[in-house]
Amino acid sequence: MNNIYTPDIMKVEEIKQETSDIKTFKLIFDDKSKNKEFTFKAGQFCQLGVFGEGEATFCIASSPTRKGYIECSIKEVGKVTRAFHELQVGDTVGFRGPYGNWFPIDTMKKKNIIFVGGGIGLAPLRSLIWNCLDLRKDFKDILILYGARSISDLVYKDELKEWEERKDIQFVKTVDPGGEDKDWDGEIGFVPTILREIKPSPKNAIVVTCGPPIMIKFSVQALDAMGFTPERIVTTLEMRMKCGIGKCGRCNIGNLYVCKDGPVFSYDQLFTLPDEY
Amino acid sequence: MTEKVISREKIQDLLKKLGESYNVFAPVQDEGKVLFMSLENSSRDVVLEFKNALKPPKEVFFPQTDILFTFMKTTDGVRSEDAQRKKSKPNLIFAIRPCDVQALQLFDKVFSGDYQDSLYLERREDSIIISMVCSEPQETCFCTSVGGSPVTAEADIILTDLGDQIFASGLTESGEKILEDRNFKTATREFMDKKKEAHSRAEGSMKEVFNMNKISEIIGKSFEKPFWNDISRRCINCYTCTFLCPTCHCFDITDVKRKGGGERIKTWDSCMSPLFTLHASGHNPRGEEYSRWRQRLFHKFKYLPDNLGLLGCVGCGRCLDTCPTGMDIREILNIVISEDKTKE
Ligand SMILES: Cc1cc2nc3c(=O)[nH]c(=O)nc-3n(C[C@H](O)[C@H](O)[C@H](O)COP(=O)(O)OP(=O)(O)OC[C@H]3O[C@@H](n4cnc5c(N)ncnc54)[C@H](O)[C@@H]3O)c2cc1C
Ligand code: SF4
Ligand code: SF4
Ligand code: FES
Repeated sequence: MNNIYTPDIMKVEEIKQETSDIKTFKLIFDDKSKNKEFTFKAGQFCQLGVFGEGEATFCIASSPTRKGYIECSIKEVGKVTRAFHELQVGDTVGFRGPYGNWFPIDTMKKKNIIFVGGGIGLAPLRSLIWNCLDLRKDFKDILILYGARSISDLVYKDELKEWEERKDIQFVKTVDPGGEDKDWDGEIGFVPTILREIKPSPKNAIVVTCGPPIMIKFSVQALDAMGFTPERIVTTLEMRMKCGIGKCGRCNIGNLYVCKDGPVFSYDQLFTLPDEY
Repeated sequence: MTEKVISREKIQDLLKKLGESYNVFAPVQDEGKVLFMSLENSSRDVVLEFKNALKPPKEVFFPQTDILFTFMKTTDGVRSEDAQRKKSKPNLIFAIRPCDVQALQLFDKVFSGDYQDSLYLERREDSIIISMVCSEPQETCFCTSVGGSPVTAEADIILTDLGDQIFASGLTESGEKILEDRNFKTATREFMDKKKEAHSRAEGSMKEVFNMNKISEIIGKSFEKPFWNDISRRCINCYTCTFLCPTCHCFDITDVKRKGGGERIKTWDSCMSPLFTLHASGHNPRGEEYSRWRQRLFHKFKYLPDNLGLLGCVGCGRCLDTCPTGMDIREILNIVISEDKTKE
C-alpha cells in the first residue's frame, strides 16, 4: 500500500523575489514521467515541505495549462516558510498533492469573469487567470481588479504589466491610500472602494475573489449591493492544515473540511456555515 | 457462534501460544495503572481484574508518535525512504473493553476512505480483537447512553469473566479458529446460564445518563447559544481528555532533524490546544476556550455522525475520570439538552 504521507521529490528550478517577503518558486518533479503526467486544476493546493523543517500548505499559483512545472508563491511568516526563503536554485523540496477542490472553471465558460484580488491573495487567482487567458475564447469579458497595501507589496509585477497591455481584458490595479509614489499610474484606494467605482454588471457574471479577510468582507458587501447573488461569488479559504486529506482534524468549518470539501467555496455555501474561520 | 470456556490459570499459556502467531497486546500493571502493552516487550503478568486501562489501546494502530518516513541528504539533494514498519505478525489485542472496540470502528472509517492511511491500515490488517465484557462497569461509564453495551462488541472473540472460568464466544471465523486451541473446553449449559446472568447484571448496572435521542440534532442547534462560555470556563487546556479518548484521532505532522537527515513524524494532537488552528497571520478561528470545547462536542456528536455515521464518543468515561478540573462531558451534554428544551 502506498504511503500517502510520502512526498514526491521536486527541485527548485527558479526563484523570483516578488516583494520583500514573498518569493515565487518554480518547481520540477525529479521523476521525469511524473513531471510529464502531472495535472491539477486551478484552485487546488499542495503540501510542500523542506526536509528537516516541515511541510506547509500553498496553493498552486501556476496555471494547469502550463505543463511541466508548478509555481508557488510563498510569504515568509514562520518556520517552514523561512526555510523556503533560504532555498537556492537546485535545492530539493517535497510535494504532496494536488489536494482539495477547484474553481468551477467549467461553469465559468461563456460568462463574464471578474477577479478581485488583494496582496498575496492573487496567487490562487493567478492560476485561474492564466488558465482563462490561455483559453481566452471560452470566456466573455474578463476584468481583473488587483490591489495591495503599497506598490512594493504588489506581486507578479511583470505579469501585471502584461495584463495591463492586453486589449482583450480589463485590468485595474490599486494601492491603499498612502501606498502610492509620484510615478504610480494605477488607482489609489482600497479594493472594495475601487470595485464600487468600476461597478461591474452582475449580468452573466461570476466573481472570483481572494485576499485579506477584511478586503473580502467589504468586497462581498459591495457586490451584494450591485446585485451579485451569493452563488456567483467564489472564494478560496485558508485554514491551518497539516494532512491536506481530511484526516488530521484541524481545518473544519462546521462539518466541512477545507482541505477536502474546499478550499474553494461559493458564498451561498459559506452563508450556511458557522462563523468559525 | 462457538461458545467455549477456558480456566483462568490457562490464560497465560494461551497468550504464550497466541504470541507465536500474533503480536499480543494485553493489559498489564504498570506502577498502579493498567496499560495495554505488547507482551513481546513486557514480561509483566497480564491482569484481567481491571476496570479499564488508563490509555485506550488505540496506540496499537495509531501510536503516539509514528514515523512517516525517513530522509537523508545525498549529493544531489534529499532522498526519502518509507520507514521500516516491521510487522512480522498481525496484531492481537486481548481483553479490550467493548467501548474501546467500538472506537476502532470509527478509526477504521477515518483512516480509510478516498485517502488510505497505510500506516494505520497495515497495522490493523489481519488484526484480532478479543474483547472482555465489563462485568462491573464503573461509575463513570456510560456506553449505553451512546448506543453501546458493556456486553457486546464488534470483536473476533468476546470473553466473560465467570471467576474460575472465562467464557469465550467466537464471533468471527478467525475468532472461532483461535477457540480451537486445546485450552478451551466446550461450554456447558451451566456456564451459558452463568454468562447470561453476568451479562444481565452488567447491563442492569448501567444507567442512562442522558437521552441520546436526537442528540446530533440538538447539538447542531446549539452553536450560537450563550452557555458555551460558562460551560467551558474551568478547562485549563491540558489536552488530557483528548489524548486519553479512544476515539480522538487528530494528529500533527512535523519534522525531526538528525545528523545527515531526519524523519517526518505524525503525533497525537489536540483540538483543545489554541495552537491547533492558529494561522500564521495570528488569526485563530478557535482562539477562544469555549470555541474549542464546542468544537470537541460538535465533532463528536454532530460532525462525525454527519460525515461518517458514527458518534465520536463511546462512553468510556476516561475524559471525566482524568480531567484535572472535573469537566464532565455527561453534565455538559445534559446542559445542552436541557437548554434546548427550555427554548421550546
Ligand atoms: C489552502 C491554503 C493555501 C495557502 N496558500 C498559500 C500561498 O499560496 N502562499 C503563502 O505564502 N501562504 C499560503 N497559505 C498559508 C501558509 O500555509 C502558511 O503561511 C504557512 O503554513 C505558515 O507556515 P510556517 O511554518 O512558515 O509558519 P509557522 O511557523 O507554522 O507559524 C507562523 C506563526 O504562527 C505562530 N505559531 C505557529 N506555531 C506556534 C507555536 N508552536 N507556538 C507559538 N506560535 C506559533 C507564530 O506566530 C508563527 O510565527 C495557504 C494556506 C492554505 C490553508
Ligand atoms: S482534561 Fe479537562 S482541563 Fe484538560 S483539556 Fe480536557 S476539559 Fe480541559
Ligand atoms: S469523549 Fe470521553 S467518555 Fe467519550 S469516548 Fe472520549 S474519553 Fe470516553
Ligand atoms: S488539513 Fe488535516 S483535516 Fe484538513
